[in-house]
Amino acid sequence: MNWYSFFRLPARCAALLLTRPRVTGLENVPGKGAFFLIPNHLSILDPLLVQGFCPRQLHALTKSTQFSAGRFSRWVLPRVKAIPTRRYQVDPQVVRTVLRTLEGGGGVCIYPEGERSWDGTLQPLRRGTIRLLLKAGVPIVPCGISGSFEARPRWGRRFHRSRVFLRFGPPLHFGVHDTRAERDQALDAATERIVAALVRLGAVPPGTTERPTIPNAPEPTGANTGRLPTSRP
Amino acid sequence: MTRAGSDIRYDISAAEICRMIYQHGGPMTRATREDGTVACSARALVSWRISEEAVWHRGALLGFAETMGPAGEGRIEVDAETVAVDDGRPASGRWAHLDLRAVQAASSSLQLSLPGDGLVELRFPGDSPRRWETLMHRLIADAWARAGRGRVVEFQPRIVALGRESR
Repeated sequence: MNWYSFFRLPARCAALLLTRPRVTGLENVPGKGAFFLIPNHLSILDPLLVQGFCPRQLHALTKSTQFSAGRFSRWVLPRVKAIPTRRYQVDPQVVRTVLRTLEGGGGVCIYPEGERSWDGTLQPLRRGTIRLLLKAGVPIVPCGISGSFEARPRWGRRFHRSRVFLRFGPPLHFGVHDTRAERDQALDAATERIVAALVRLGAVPPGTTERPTIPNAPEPTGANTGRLPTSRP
Repeated sequence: MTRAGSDIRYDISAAEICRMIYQHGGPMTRATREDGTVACSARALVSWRISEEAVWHRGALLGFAETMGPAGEGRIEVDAETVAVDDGRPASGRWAHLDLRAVQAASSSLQLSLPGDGLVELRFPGDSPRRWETLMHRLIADAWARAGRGRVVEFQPRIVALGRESR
């Protein structure tokens, strides 16, 4: 057992307690070989959910400030396969580390929005991230998360019990785009395909407040309903 | 949800709260004066990047992480052309929006990548980092458009406009 497996157990327990997740589409995660996993990002709970329930171990891009958050963070994050990413400047070392991981047959998790959503809707995807996906040319597994925003929004300070849905979609294949010109040419079409895939899996498109209808998905309950009437004690 | 400082409970989702906030107007409503000029300031806890350290694991370089210095009491001020950060330390200054390299909210703070290689992080004890991030985005986008640099489509890891990118 490595540290990733060791910490995955409490992560899964915490996710189960806080969010009662329903996980579907695990068969879409490749059993072996390099791949990208690209979830939408709603909450601080998302890494617990994704890494707790994805059957493959994932190297996740993590903001570099997390590595400076304390001695424990600095010790544990590399051991759970986190890759520090400087978001305030272009970071070529991240690209090198990701490509090295993929060459070794590993799975890499990137939140393509680059940060958590402020309002529960899908943020614009980072152009640099899409370029990296196109450059690598490995299968891209979209992962739709819904419900975690209601459990712990970015601006919230408390956890609220909310049913969370985690849906792994069929892998997308874009092929290898070796040159910058090829990647730039394919950028917009690839972005549209990824956004469409994430929306199909439950991500809320930008500018909308209504949740999309997911076939065969149970109705949201409790704090997730968006009912307006107030109740006072 | 419970409103801060009271016992009133609201049966309402986080997404619905966001929708209601947007109905009250964007960040420019508080930053625009009656005469149409833009000016806004806020108290902030200011910290500056003092170093970057390599992160190694099992002999492999994973990446780099910044170390921020101690936070000090200061202020941020913006107008249509510039942003100023002042906490009494030598790194304080005023920069044109056109010279900023990136703007982003990291957790509950606002980070500005400054000309050269500077990085400043601001925490707002009495204000919203989201509001300041959106305000900075708006001001930078307007400044780039006025300068003929095109439409800004991305603010981090560097400011990118369609057809042109920052240094």
